[in-house]
Amino acid sequence: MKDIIKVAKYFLRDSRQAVMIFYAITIFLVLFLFYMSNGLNGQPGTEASFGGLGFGVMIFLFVSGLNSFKTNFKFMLANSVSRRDIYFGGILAFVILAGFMAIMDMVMSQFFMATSSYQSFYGQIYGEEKRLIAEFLWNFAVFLFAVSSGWMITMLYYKSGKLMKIFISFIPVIIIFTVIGFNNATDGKVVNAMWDFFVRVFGFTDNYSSYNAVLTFILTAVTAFGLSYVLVRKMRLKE
Amino acid sequence: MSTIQIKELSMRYGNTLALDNVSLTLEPNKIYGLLGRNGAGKTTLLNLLTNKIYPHSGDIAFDGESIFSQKHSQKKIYYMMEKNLFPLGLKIKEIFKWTKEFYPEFNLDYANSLANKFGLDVSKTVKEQSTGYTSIFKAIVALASNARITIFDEPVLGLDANHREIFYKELLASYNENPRTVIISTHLIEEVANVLEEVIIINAGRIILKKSVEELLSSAYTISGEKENVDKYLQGREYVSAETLGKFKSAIVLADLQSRDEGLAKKLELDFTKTELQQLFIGLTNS
Repeated sequence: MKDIIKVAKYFLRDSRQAVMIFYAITIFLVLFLFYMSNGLNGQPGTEASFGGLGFGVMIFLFVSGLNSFKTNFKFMLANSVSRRDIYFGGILAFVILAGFMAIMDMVMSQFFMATSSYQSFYGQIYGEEKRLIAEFLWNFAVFLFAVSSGWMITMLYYKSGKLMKIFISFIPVIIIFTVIGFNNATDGKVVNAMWDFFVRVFGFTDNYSSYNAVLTFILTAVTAFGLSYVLVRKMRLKE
Repeated sequence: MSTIQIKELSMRYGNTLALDNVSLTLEPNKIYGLLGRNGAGKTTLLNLLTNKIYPHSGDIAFDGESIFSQKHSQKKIYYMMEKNLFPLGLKIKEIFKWTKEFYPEFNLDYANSLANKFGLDVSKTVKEQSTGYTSIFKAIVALASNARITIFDEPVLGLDANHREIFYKELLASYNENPRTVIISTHLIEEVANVLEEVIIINAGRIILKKSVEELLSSAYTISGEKENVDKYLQGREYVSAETLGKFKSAIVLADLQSRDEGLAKKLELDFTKTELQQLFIGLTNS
């Protein structure tokens, strides 16, 4: 347990600088957009707004996940930390990071909404109703999904040989062509069914419930973490 | 205790058999030299010993418990790898700090005093270090770790003669103060010979010898003189590494020093000399 906490501490220390740079850029960007939208809104017949910074957080966490494996894994092995502790320490760090950034996103959203014509990432999808808990949970689930996916993908690449890496890179293309093929063969039924499925799992039904999406993202993150455990359990050090 | 038992260990990389059915016992509180030519399997064996990679067959037990079991703790072993596993952007003092987190017995004061002796700037990052200083900081971390088993893989890589001398002195001083099992894998055999208690020679993935340095050096001697006379002396004797230079020949005879035939050597005008560890190693691994 002690090592799990130490691993999490190291992971968080490792991402601290990147998080600070990310927020510095975000704040600079927001101030610029804030100035621009206020200027534009002052002109007759013009209505300007900005928002969706949470999408940037999602991309940032996905990239963080991608960059959080190789170097940390090697450093932890240099310190004789077990693969199990590296795994659970990593998850603990990602949960803390996703939670922190979800809170930050909400705080910033509330502030920008009060001072300008800003719409949060959540608000853009599910409407402007003030549902703080729902918004926090949705942010947290999306961010955890992003970071877990990045972590799992990078582990998959690390573990694979050259041929397998090429195959993995082609998986999205294979999926797209398979879906197109089946869709054409079934007169569009496949895409329709997929659309219905995504509408349900992401809560885009009539009442727009974000809790469906929270459940979906959390389950996907848990699956990604589960696959990560299978990958890291007997992971060999590659020099 | 800290006894390591390696049982029938084999490891393959594609079609290459890196380790072939290796069995070995490492007793506590000894300084071992793991010697072998390039590609002999030294680093593979050390990587397996420290759970960095997994074998295709066989097992390694540390105080009776398999090191490949999930509950096994590796914290009694510190392994200074030849390759760098440390993040390039970390400062040396941060590496000391993090090692202390994961190895609570790590002696921070001792690490800093060693850094002073070697002239290592701990406020510089890993990527700012030269090859020699990269070896130095890794060796300092290993020496200060206070792990029951400390492994050094090419610890003096890139070090100048002065730094190498400091390293050997510090290693012995640290060992005398805190006896533990030390394994040194190196190609600089002559230099490390005085530090070692036991030698393990690995060749083409097999352990060909495990003996105390004293016993090993007393089990061979060098005979030299005119080629024809040396050949006469070698008849019926087991020898390795015969070298001919013009009319002159020398060979390492694998036999107890007491069993040398001084009468025959005098008659043939041959000279006996003590065999150096490096010569013996070359002879044993060339055949």
